[in-house]
Amino acid sequence: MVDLKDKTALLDELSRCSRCGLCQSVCPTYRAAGIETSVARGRNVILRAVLEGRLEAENGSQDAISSCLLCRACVTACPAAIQTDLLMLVGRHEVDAPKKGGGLLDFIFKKILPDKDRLSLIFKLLSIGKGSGISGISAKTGMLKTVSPYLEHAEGLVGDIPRISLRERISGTIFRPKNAKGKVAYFMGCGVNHLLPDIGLATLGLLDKSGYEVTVPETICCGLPPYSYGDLDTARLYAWRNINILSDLDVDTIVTDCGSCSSFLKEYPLLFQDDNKRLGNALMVSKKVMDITAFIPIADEEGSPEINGKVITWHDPCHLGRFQGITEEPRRLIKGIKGVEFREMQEADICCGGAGTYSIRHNDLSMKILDRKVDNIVKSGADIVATACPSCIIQLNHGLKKNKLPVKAIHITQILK
Amino acid sequence: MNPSLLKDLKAVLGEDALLYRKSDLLTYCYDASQGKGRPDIIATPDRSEQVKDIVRIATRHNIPFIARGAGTGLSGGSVPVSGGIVILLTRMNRILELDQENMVLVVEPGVVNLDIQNYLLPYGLYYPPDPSSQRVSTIGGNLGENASGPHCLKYGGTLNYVTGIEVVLPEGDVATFGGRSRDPKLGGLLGLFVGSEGTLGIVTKIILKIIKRPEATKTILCIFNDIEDAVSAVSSIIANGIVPAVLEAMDRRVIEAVESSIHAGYPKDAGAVLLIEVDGLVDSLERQIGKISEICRQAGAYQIRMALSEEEESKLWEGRRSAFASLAKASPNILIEDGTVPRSRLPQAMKKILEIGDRYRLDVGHVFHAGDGNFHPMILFDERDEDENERVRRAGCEMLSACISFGGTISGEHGVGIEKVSSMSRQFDQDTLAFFKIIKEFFDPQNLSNPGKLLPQIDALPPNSHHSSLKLRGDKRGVTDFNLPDGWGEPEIILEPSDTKEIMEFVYECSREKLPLRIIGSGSAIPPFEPDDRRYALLSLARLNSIIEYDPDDMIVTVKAGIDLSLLQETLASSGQFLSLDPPYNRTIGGTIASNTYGPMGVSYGTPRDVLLGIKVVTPDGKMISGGGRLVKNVAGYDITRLFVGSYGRLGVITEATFRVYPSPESSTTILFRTDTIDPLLALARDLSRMDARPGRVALLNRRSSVVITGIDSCLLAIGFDGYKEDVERGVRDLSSLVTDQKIKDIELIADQENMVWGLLSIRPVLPVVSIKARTNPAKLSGFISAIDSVIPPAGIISYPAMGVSEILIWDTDKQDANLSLELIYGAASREGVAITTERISPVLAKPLITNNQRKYGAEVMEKLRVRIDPLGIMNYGMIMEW
Repeated sequence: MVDLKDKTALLDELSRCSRCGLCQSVCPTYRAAGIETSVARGRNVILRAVLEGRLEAENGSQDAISSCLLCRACVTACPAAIQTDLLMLVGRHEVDAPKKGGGLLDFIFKKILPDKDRLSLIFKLLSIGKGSGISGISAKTGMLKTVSPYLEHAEGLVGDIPRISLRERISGTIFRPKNAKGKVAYFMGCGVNHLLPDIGLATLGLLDKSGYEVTVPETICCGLPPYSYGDLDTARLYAWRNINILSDLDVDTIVTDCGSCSSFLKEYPLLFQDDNKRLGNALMVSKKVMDITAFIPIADEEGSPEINGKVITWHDPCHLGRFQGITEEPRRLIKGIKGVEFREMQEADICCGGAGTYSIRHNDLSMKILDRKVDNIVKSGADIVATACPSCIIQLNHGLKKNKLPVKAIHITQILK
Repeated sequence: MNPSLLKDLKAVLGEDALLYRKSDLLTYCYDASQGKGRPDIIATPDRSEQVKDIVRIATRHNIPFIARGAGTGLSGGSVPVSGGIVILLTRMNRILELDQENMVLVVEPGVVNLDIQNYLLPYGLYYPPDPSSQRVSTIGGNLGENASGPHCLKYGGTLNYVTGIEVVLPEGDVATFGGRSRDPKLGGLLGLFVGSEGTLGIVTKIILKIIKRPEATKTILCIFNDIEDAVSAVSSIIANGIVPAVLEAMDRRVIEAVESSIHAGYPKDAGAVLLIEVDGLVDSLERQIGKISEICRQAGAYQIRMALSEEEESKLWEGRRSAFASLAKASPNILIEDGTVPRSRLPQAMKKILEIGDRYRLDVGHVFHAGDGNFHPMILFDERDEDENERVRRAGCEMLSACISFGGTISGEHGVGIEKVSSMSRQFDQDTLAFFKIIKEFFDPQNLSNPGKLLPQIDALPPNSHHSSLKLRGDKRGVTDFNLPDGWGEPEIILEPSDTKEIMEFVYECSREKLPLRIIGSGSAIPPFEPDDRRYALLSLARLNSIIEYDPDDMIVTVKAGIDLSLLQETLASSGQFLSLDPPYNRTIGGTIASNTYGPMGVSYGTPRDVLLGIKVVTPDGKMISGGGRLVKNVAGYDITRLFVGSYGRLGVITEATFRVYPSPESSTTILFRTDTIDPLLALARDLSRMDARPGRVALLNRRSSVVITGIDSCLLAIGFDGYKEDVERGVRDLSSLVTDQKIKDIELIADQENMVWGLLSIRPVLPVVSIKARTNPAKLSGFISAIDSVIPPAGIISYPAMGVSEILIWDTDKQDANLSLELIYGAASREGVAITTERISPVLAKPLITNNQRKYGAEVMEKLRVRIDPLGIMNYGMIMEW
């Protein structure tokens, strides 16, 4: 693992690139844009030039570095296994961190995301705008657009925002079956909480049915959004708050149904590598984290009635497949469901272009990447795309809807009865 | 950047197709080599008209332009060393057409090599060139560098698979060379562009020959203690007549790296491994593998492992595929060198290369395409260590020099680019480099098309220093008896030299005197000349008839141009090998190349351009140039070798040629089909392409030809299978199940008489008064042949259907009858759009037809190039022959 703070180590890592160009074969942004500034080789050249003072941080270098999906496809394909995703994080810190990119992101990261009440309020406001249809506030005023030009695409993507968040819905509900198999904590991701609460309900139902005692701690955002924008300090703050909450719990496992959250929770120790006092706690928490896809016992399951007779394909979220190596489990799970057919699509492990807020900031590129993904889904002939990441689900459904296709993307816990 | 340039580019491409921010420019400074440059702007056209527009703008502004695909070149071919416009072709990545009837694929240059492979897979089709960069490198880049890969040992490189190109020339004109025929028209120009590294123009459309995917493959891994044992095993395998599809070697350093990184399962203490793949019909594979194992065991392999399943096979190859990656993980940077030596010299060259690495204190791993004598030292280094950088550079240079000293080349497959440009003058003599320069300046007078690549700076050449020992008038030295073609007057002077120096002097003298020069070999393929009573000199090559070098181990033979083919075949046969050319009339080698002739074998082994490796030519100013070399793999410099194929002596005198030869097949069988009308046989010939067992020889004769040549009064289709016994038997079996047409009644298996049939086809007892070569797409062949077959008085047809090529022959000596037939033949050719070359015609008959209706501009380019090479127009002056 490259030490992100050590400039010499970073330059060492960058100089290992022989510019062979093999990253072009897998990089989703390269395949969409076809130019060198949108592939690992070019991005690394730019970052190196910035770090060595040969190139100032201008629009071009910001675009190049911020348009990386951090999907790690290049790391797998790279003969030297150069950790371009990490390098790009540093790059964002150098050329594109919130402090340089303007006050809005900084404000969101510092004031809104870590404060679940404020976050809740924002989404509530948004839900009023969206919910009241085309004549609603947001449509008339372009509410999101006024907040930031980045967000002008957000409205189309997200669809209806529920008025009541998952946390509000389940408040007071206790999942405590008799003779519990074990105790788990459910880590609720922001996407599930505010945008797709049905997923959370399905997951909790599944855990309950499987006989686990479930607690839902009052955690905050996992920290991946600021981390992805290169704001490591803020990410550390979030992580530490969550660690404090989670390490106090008497549970065997911390389960989440967001592939990005589970992946980042597992990486918490990396944030505290040079902080021995906190590292221990971080390790303790991260060791307990499991993604729901790996946690559900694989057995012949009954599917929910809606999926009976349907063809299902699987989309590998980057944070689940490449980051955590979970690829076989969900497929076996789907294959085990009675009355459905599993069909593999081409390029199932290629990023959908969602990547959190990426689809908002780099809408053009994101949509091109999505088009290819949708194309592969159509070719597979599937009725349902199952996956395990809210960001992917939002992105995929946007693409499917845009193309007026009768296919739906849903979370894997939603296809189980 | 010049604002008016930007404005002009924006006007044709729009803002979105242009990149010129600082960061954009920074990312087009490099490719996968160590070379660095800096462009002024990057343009991303998405169709060929836009490329044309960009090139025109560049020419107007006098600014360089550089074609670029994926930027994975290893010699700096796409690095913009003199600035200019990078023309990024990755958006032109459409597969335009799969033409299964002609077995070609039409693509744009930006298509990725592997995408082609994947596209063809479901059709059971195959495009063999497989550079290691195939997952990302584009076909345009492959063409520019004449890329090859492991499978090229058996199947050949990019050059052998490009049958046509559309190209934007440096002044912005668009030309087309070649087409969908297996014997492409303007093949000489096509050859020049393949491997030209974008210095002659920008290819915007490519027609690729494709083949049927082999029915089966088998892979074995042989483990040796010592790299030299492994290398000698390679020679023995080839010497035993086995040509595997792939024959790869890795040394101890690479094995160590592979093992510590991916655990491919090679013994850690192994000194070398050979990975061998054979492919083809399932019938003979088992026996081939057995034979190879035995040879390797005798050579010292202490362990031999065969892949029993597809998974195992891919696992065995994983080690080879990950060689580069494994070393890359162990070192900050890697330089991959690329050199080729004759296979038999590989052990010595190996020793020398190892010694160089040691002397410069470098960590070097070796992988080889051992079957080709092509090796890739991978030098581990840190680019930030200046001292080490310098040592790497110098070691690389010495390694290349070593290759040259072993009779090899500075580049087997990576190209010259900028990295090897300084080594060019060590590989090529000044006169040859000057000839390269003529070609470059002809196509690119402003030196804008990828300047600084491939060609070194050439000093002004000293004037020709021949001392004339010849008196041009009345001198008729060493003349053997031969008949001059009809209509040729008595030559002013005849020279029949026995060495090439004499030819150089003779040609030089002719050029000084502006005396037209006619060249004659066996005299069987002499196109017509304009009636002219200018005096002329005659050069006969009859005495240049020896074998210069023949090394059966290398499967390469170098001969003088006047040698007759049957003599050469006899020599080769005594070593169990043969040259895969069977042109009619027992032509000389020079004549075979100059007239681009081949016979029934063309269907499986290709035409002269496919087996010719190198050539020596005396140019019209009396200088000796040499193209290619004595190697199967050689991509240094322009491919002038193929320029002279089919040049009919109009660009220079071919004096020497080097060919790859093949092991004689252990078994062969010929089947003869007879019918009353030609159509059922045409249909059967077309169906042959569906067979897994590919015939080695095919010829179709109409009744007229059959009567004259074989004495059999019916249409004939002769199909010969050769190769391993099991495969031949399989071919015969499959063929009989293919014949369902009841009209094909007379099926005779005449295994014993096969030599007679092929012999008659080659010897052609009666010389025709007219011989015309007709080239078209295989798909268009039937219509044309039916038309010619109905000509009255009847003309003879000998057709090679899968090639789309036919000979049309008239034996009538009656002038009126012959002219009547000719008129109808010309009519049919014009109607069907078939390109014809009149190889031979009696001067009393009608003038030959210059069709030239297709590819007109391409032919014009070739004619202009001829004038550039022979400005005085003395070489075969007055010959009527269209390009």
